Amino acid sequence: MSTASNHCPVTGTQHEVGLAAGMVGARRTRDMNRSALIRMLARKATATMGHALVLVLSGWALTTYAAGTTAPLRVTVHLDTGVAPPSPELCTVIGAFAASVTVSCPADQVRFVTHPPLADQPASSETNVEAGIVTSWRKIQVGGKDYLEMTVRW
Amino acid sequence: MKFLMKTLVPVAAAALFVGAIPGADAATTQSGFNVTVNLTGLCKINSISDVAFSYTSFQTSASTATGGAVSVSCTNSLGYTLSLDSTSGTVSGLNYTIGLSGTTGTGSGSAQSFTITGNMPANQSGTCATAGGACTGTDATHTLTVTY
Repeated sequence: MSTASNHCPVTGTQHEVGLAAGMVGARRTRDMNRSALIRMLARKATATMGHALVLVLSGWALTTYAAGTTAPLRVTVHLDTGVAPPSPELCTVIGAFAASVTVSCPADQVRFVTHPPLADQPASSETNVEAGIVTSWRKIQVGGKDYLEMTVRW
Repeated sequence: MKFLMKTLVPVAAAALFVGAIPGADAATTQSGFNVTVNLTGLCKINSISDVAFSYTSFQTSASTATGGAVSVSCTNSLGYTLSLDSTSGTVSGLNYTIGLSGTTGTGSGSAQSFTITGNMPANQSGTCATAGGACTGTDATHTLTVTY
């Protein structure tokens, strides 16, 4: 275009041609820029996809190669309710007080007597048998031994 | 005779000298070689003891668990992590939390120790059907995982 301008009179047509050529050049430049932009975007997209693929593969690799082992774990508790359990030395009345009362005592630790002063004396035959209700009982110690005393109403 | 002495003596001496070098006529060649191994890293949980609480209903201070000893062995230089599937639970009506003394490690080829800690907050009632006594409860829902 510059050559034509130097050797030929500038005419409107030529000028127009020159302008047209410039426009074509500009269009080419724009087309080239567009192509370059597209190529650049394509490269970036490819790179981005590549990075994404690398990330995905890395995650897959980590997921694939992570191994583990497990073991069950037990949690235990010893819960104390805060209430002392009955002493094994004491007798336990099973059920409610009534005409018939069941008393559980440790073996060979408590002797039943009607009168504590008679302790250690062998029991004789029954002298009186009647139905009655045990209203209370207590454990007493006589001569270093535990005795159970019951109050019976009849 | 003089000629023989001059000729044979050096020849015999040379023969004796060559014969005196063991293997002087043996050729050798050498080649290095590699010993390779495909070692698969591994971790194993050697043992794990129960996390044990002792608690009295409505006690005024939190209870700290005993036990919870964990022994882990991993391949030398192999990194690993420890995790619990859950860090809280309930046993005999008592809420508790558990945790790990450490969550990462690097294998040494020998047993390495960790502890599962436990805390049971104060002022809890608990559930015990045994009148005037004590109960023992067990929560076996937890799992320890070693990832490597």
